[in-house]
Amino acid sequence: MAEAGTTFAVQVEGVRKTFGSICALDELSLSVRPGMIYGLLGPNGSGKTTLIRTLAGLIRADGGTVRVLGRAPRAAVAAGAVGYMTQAAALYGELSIDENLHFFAALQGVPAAESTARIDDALSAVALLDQRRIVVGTLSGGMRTRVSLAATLLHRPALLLLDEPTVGVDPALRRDCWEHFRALARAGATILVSSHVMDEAARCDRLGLIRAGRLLAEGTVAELCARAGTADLESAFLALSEQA
Amino acid sequence: MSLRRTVAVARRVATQFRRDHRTIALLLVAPVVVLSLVGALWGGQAASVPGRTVLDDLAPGLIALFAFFFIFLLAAVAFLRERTSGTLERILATPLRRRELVAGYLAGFGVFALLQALVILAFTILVLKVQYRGGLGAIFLVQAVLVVGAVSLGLAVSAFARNELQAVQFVPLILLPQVFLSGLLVPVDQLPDVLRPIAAVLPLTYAIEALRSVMIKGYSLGDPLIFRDLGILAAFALLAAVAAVASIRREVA
Repeated sequence: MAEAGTTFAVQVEGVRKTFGSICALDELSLSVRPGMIYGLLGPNGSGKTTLIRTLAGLIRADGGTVRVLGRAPRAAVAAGAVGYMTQAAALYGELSIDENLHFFAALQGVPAAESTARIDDALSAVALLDQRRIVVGTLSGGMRTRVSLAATLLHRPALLLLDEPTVGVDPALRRDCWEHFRALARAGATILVSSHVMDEAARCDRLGLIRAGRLLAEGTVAELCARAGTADLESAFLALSEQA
Repeated sequence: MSLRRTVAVARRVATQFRRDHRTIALLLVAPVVVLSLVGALWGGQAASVPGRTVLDDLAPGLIALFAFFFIFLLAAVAFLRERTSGTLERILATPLRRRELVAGYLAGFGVFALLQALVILAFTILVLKVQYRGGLGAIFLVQAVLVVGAVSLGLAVSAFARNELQAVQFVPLILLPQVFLSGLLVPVDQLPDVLRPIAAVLPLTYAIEALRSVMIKGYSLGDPLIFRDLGILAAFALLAAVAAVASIRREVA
């Protein structure tokens, strides 16, 4: 789904971003190929969310270049090519699931005639099809996360930016979510997902280990383990952090 | 500008508002309660002009003040909630443009602001039996332009608050100067020289002048003074809307 002539869905080069005295992104560079699930792995405060928000056109980097689907981030977002799922399920508690999704569909430019069908698809993906009339304010945390994910899928974006998408979601549904991500990637979507849960990270095609706003290492799970000389990803992450 | 996105925001804002029964009740009942107290206080007191009460003289100012006050506060707090709950960040990461968001809020809130203005006007005329000479349509038009400005100002002001507690503290800052300096208590031309420039930038000054002219002097909409005051109020509403758009930065904290 990436535009013709674009080699990378996401291309970040030497990006810097500071908030006061805190350096959130420190000359960070990484590239994500179209159709890939790329995992951003790192501890809290490592710069994952700052990077995702930069890609979503919400933060302007202090330096370096950021290209999203071959364009400036805001241009890609304005074209409806990006879906951004915030870390906390940002939804309207007074509205029903259905009303929330209709609202986001309109903002994302989903044709009005298709809205209902798209909402059905998105709700089936998160197993909430029968609960569309429930008011969001009464939902559990995990269910809100699922609605939030559904809202991100409505306009079938070429690039999905998911900031810790499965926090508070039970294991069975988490597995289903990841199957859905895999299906989207097979259909051509690029997914950039942040996590600090190692078993989730292991499902990504490629991983970037981030700490203190820098990319420590990048590769497949096997590559990272081999490089660190460890048997599992968690040990590899710790070993690579210590080497840095 | 996309009409669809603007309408989506307006509908959403109005639906959220509609679901909040307590706020709607407060919005419609609070000005009536306060007006009743004011009516009981001044309704029977004779003014300097024979046949008129103090309430007749104060009513134009009170209509303007109440129409402005409640909806300003509500708009500020509602938009602050959008900022602090993370939904603003989310909708800014869609094709939605900032001016569509402000226009949507103005439309969604505007409906309730106008409804409140109508309740205030009806209560003043029908229950408090305040005397008026000019047309009711003219009075309502002045109120309408004023409340649109109040909503815009509320949206812009919410940018300076980080939480509801701070937002509420903006109320005296925005409101009290208008209570004392806009001609409600002391005519603007009797203010000390140093305060007059301040009165000249307060929207309530023009709303009160226009409402007095219509209600007490019987001016019509075609009168140059009313026309000028409405123009200034409209310019204020536009300026506040532009300030509200500018206050929504994509770089949200």
